Amino acid sequence: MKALRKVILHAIVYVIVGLDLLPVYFMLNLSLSSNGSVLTYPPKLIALPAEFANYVQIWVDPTRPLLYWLRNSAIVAGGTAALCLIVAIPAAYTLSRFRFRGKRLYSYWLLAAQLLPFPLVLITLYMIMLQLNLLDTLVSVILADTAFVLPFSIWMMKGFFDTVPVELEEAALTDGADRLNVIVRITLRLMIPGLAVTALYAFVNTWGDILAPVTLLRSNTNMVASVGILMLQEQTKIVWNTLMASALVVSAPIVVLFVLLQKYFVKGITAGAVKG
Amino acid sequence: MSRSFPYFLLVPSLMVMGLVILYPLFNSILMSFQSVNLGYLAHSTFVGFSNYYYVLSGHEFYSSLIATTIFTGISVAGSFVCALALALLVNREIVGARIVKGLLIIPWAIPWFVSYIEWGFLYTPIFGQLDYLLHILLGPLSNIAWSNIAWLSDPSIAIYSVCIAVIWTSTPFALMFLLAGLQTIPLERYESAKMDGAGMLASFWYVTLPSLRKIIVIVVTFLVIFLWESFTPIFVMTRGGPAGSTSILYFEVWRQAFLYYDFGDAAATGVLALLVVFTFSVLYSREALKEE
Repeated sequence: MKALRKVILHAIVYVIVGLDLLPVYFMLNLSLSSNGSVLTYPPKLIALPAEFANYVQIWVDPTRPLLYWLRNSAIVAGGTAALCLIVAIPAAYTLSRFRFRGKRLYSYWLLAAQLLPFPLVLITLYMIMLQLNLLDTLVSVILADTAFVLPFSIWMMKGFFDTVPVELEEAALTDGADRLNVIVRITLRLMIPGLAVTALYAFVNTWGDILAPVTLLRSNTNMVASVGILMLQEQTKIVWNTLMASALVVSAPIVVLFVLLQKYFVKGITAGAVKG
Repeated sequence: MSRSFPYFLLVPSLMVMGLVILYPLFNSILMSFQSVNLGYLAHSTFVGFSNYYYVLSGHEFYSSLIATTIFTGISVAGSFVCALALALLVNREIVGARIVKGLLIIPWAIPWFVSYIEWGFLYTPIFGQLDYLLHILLGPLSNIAWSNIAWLSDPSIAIYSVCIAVIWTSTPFALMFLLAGLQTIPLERYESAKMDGAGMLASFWYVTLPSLRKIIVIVVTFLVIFLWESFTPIFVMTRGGPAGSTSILYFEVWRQAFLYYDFGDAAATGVLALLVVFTFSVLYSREALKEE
């Protein structure tokens, strides 16, 4: 009887996982469909014969500068992550270690910044970029995405700093550490997973973001991968199979990064939150 | 270490956030009281509350509020319930549990714009697989033409279709947290509940839920915050249509600003949205403080 219950449980779980992943299966299916079998009725559930040529074709299409897009996405995501790290480390360290007047206000601000209507902020950012002649540049997107990602990055990193015991720093101080630098070196070395997670959080979120790029970028070669793929959906005649192939190529690095970091992500948020 | 050292360390963050968040925010609020012409930026004229009158007398703002409420409510509730159910299912000893958990994360790992492009395709009438599968499964049972449902082009159901796709994408997020929470519940609690004669349902209600309270609050709060400001699903699947039925509040602000280039009205809508959010957070923190 118990064995039967176990079997049923396993069956239910596997079926649910299968159903849950159906859209992913269909993504792969679509990317491997040949041109004629995309818009058919009844829809083809299995793309056979698989058109692997799709994955080759997307790189040579001149209207789809995938390499430019990927490079731009990397610049924007990397730039945002770097900027966030540089700014967030001292801020989060302060929040974690010190008590000072205005700390509560600052913390509330970090939370409030999450709720702000970002499009409202974007209106003026757009105007600023327009006047500074920075529209259609990657720098503008980096700044906009930083505005979006920075408050949460600070908050998350504070949680990570909280997990490093203050005693370690105090011990180093009493041991006659001559400068704050030495303490920082100790703490930061323990913080490497936290730093990595925060940087990856900023990177992944910026890579997938479309709000800032769609507003601030125009030309095809300056375009970021996310919006570039979307623009392929704008055409009067959408070529779904190569669209999906491009989309999956653009996603692959992110999915990998994600699966690697998600464990630490949860740990970071719950550690900081549950503690304080 | 001087007294002002903490403040010193905060300066970079304050500078950056001031520059790209605070200043633009205040400037946009100012713009809500102006009539802004992008061609002659220096000639923006002060028009008092007329932008607000315009926004509040139209119907877009209110249908946007309704859409936001429906969208956030259903997406958050749906994601949470699915995540909880999955967490309970998967938390047991199952062959391949680790692989299962890894597989379940995938919908959230895939960049959102890709997922929603795919859902847009699945929702395509006639050619999309969703209609077809439903047609096979449910067709014989009812009179509805399952293969021809206008998932995303029918104003009365579009928002629910969007919700389904969003639930699919967001459930893993909640699932991660709930699983982590479930694993911290000591087994003795379940055992002592069993000894007191509790069945599965009772032990869920009296052991699982109370132990998860803190995590549940965190998860639901995060879900609400993230889903409230959704842009990607709306933009990719419906662009706010059909007939504005999926144009949630923040999307509506963007739409007026960057599709209609009506910066003054957009800013007014944005400020009103800000007030809505502000009211809710005040109420929320009052509730949260009451409990303590």
